[in-house]
Amino acid sequence: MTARRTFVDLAVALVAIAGIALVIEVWTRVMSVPSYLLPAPSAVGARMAADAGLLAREGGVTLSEAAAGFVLGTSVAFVLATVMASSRPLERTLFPLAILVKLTPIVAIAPLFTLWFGFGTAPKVAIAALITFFPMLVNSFVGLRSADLQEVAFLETLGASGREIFRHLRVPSALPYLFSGARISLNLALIGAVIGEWTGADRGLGRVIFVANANLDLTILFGAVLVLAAIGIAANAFVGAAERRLLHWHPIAVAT
Amino acid sequence: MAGFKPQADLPFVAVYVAQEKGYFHDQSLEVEIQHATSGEHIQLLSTNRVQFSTGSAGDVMKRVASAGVPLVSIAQIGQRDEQSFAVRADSPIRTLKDWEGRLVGIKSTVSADYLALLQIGGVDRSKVREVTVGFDPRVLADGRVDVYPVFTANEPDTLARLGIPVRLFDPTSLGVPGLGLSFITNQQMVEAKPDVVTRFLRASLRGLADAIADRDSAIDVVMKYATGEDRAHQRYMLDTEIEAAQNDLTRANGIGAMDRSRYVGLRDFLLQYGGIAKTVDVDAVFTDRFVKDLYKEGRLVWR
Repeated sequence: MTARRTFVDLAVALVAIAGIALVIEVWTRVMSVPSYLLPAPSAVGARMAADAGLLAREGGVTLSEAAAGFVLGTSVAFVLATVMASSRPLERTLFPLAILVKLTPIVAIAPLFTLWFGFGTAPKVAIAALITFFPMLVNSFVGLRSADLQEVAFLETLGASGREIFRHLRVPSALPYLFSGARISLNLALIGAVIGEWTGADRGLGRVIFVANANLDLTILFGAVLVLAAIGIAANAFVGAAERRLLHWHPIAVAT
Repeated sequence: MAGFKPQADLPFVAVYVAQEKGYFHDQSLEVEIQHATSGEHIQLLSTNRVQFSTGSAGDVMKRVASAGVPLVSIAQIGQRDEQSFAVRADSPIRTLKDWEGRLVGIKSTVSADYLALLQIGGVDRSKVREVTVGFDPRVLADGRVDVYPVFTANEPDTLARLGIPVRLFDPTSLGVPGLGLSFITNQQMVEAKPDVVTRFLRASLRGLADAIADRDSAIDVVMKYATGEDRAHQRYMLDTEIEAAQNDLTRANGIGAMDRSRYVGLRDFLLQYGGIAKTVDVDAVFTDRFVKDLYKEGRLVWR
């Protein structure tokens, strides 16, 4: 049943995308729209096929930076959320700082990361980590606080330690929230990596997009954007599969 | 009229002053000045949603050659390459040959200027360490690179303000045939509305002449548009660009004068060093017919 539903969902999405592409194709041909304004989807497809190796290599670079940033950002966020969930004073102290991080315009400070971390992968990972931090922090915090108080009291009467309650009750209760945060953060991590590549990189899809934009080469620009979207969709599918596997006992797993 | 952010780049100073003094109005033109930060003005110009902008002669050639964008340079304001390569004033790097073994910043892609300089200096590129640095000159101030490509009109001053005076390797002085900013329009305007092009240039070049004659007043006007910018920095830009706008050609024919042989030289240079992948018809990317009509014996004729 799940496989059938997935197939139907995929088919509907593909038909919708094909329909939009067809409209754009006809529009660009009938109106003779120059490729530096809006390339025909067929031209984008042909370019993607011609430069498949390049897009795969650069996509791999961006994915690795995003993945590293995701792991770093979400790990720090989870640890901080655990601290905040365990102490109201710490929550009141740390949450404004977390909001400060959230409100910082990443594009404006991204060049500074090169000054702080050098030219390599580190600044891209750091930006991806920073941008993934807040959604995971909020979701982790709310999730850890969502444990049923009666269940907490019950475990305490059985003599469970705080660590045992955290491991056997709070974390399992937080899992749906953690997966929700992961879905948001994964896509943000990709965007963070691309922003990092814009500010100075010799590899990655962000650099491909940056150079293509400077050269008005929109076929490769849209090709890179589509690869980025494909990575994002695959990452979301991966998280969804993990969620269904780990949360098979939870109603949310049925709904996703 | 549209272009990059409000600042004292010379074509825009010309337009700001012309607007403020009513020169466009005198030419029966209603001009709206807009700014776009990411190069969108080129696409807007190509579709005639804006009618005039600025761009370096080399960039115009690249866009015509690579994407077929119907751009035309109509007055050459910057008579020198607008970019240089900076080293810290206290750097031991004295000659191009000294770049070997050093870390050289590349802003987005390896430029034709850079490759030409390596050849002029007899530099073995395999011995140069290249790194993509983006558009933040602080990487030179911070010592993360030894050589950094700068926009000559503003970044040396930005670095000096950070306490890092620099020395420049200027491609034009070293024999590279570069050109700076020009007024640009699209083919449609040149063919269908040449009179509008003429009147726009006449008003703008008068504004430019005023700016050169009274730089303090010109900066007063610039600051109305470039709110939040540093006045002294804008003045540095203006002074640098005025100097770069004048040479023997302009002294004889007026600011904005164009020389076909320099465009041929620029095209051949870009072809040689990979700045453009295929040749372009020089006569399609520039025309001096407007600017020639505006001057008589090197003086702008106002009517």
